[in-house]
Amino acid sequence: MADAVALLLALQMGDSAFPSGGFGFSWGLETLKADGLVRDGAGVTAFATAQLTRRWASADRPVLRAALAAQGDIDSLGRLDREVEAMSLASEQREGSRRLGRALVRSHVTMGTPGAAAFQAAQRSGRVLGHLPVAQGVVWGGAGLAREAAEAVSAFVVAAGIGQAGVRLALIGPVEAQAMIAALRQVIAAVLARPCPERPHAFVPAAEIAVMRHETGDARLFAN
Amino acid sequence: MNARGEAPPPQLDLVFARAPAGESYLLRQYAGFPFHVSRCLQLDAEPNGMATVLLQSLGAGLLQGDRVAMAVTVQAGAQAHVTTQGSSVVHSMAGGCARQDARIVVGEGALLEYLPRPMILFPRADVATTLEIVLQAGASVMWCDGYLAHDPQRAGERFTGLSAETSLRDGSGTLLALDRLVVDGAVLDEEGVMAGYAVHASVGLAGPGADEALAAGWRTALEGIEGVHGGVSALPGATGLFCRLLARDGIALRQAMLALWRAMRLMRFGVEPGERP
Repeated sequence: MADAVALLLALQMGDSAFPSGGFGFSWGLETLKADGLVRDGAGVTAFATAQLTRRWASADRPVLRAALAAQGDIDSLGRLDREVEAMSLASEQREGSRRLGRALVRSHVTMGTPGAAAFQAAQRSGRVLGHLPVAQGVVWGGAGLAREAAEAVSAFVVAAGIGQAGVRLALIGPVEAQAMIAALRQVIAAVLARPCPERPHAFVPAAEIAVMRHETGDARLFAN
Repeated sequence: MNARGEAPPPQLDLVFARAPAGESYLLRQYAGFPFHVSRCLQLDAEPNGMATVLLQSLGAGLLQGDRVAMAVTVQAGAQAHVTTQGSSVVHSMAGGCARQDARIVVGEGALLEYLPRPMILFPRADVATTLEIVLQAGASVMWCDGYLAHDPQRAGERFTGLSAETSLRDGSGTLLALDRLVVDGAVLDEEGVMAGYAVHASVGLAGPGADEALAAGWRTALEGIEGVHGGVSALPGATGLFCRLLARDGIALRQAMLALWRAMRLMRFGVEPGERP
């Protein structure tokens, strides 16, 4: 029964209907399409794979893990948050991460998740910025999600969000997107089986350039 | 590190200062192997009095086990341009790695352009680089780092590893920006990462004048350069600008680097730099 409760909790945290605002972000995919660098489902899959293996695995994962371990320690969370800010070199990337983090925390404050209100207060006072992987660590830890499940849900949210963005951009059909997410399960499992890096790092230049070019581009369906 | 865990002194230590008449000069220079420092040149009318130094390598490049460190200090009010004569080659290795660390301090109201040529990574090369920049109040810095893989035998071999970290801090030690990547050579073949390009580089600009108008100038400068794909954005806290570049080859990258440098000079000082020998 405890396993069923844990599974249901993970499903809810990863549910695309959870009010966290993730549908408004493409993380560069919109501009990659506009620039002709992603044209179809294969391109979306390559983009998602890069986001999972070259960014999420090495940057979001260690931050999420550190935030889970720092429950309630606002000073530690603030230091973590400032490093995420410093590493987010495209402005729409860091604004998107902060906005999503704020929206996630707001929902959990309403739900009464332990730790969410204190983190939101720290956000409002400027002690923390509330980037997404930090916020995920705070609220998912508060909700009782185990570390392994939190990491799997976080990676799944990336894959599902890119699938959704690909469908809205007409790069991939809805069923094809689900097939892509299914195939990415193995990619995510392989990432989770590897040791988690201690120091966050990332290398997704094509996507990062796209987020930068989005600032002045004509394609504005998404916030980045 | 020596037996006591201390980092050895840098093989290159340059200190630029500003003379009372306004001209910048090398107050101190130490260059041990593999570095050789050109004489201090005054190449441009603007920025007025800027000192230009060309770094040359007497070695064959970075070899397994090498540890190269450099320090560049630009004292308050001085202006310096530091570049390299050619690219640094990182040679093939058999299980070990090489390391290059650079530390830059730009004093109050000073200006540094630190624009070395890109590193060339041979098959099975494994290298770690760091670039630490400390920016005092009112100081400006333009920096770049770039990496390209070269496979002379065309055997389809890639470099083993590249770890590169660039940090920008203010005088109090507060972290302003951090670019950290750790990759293996397989990344070059990943469409979702490189979008079919072979070379990547980063260019940063921090300090007064590194604003949205200059960002627009940089975007315009990159337009029309064949084989280059780049983006420009504001650094966290509006401390400056950051440009990520992908390029088809080293020639296209060089064109992009020069275009960004010229655009910065034109917008900040009203004139482009003169032709270099």
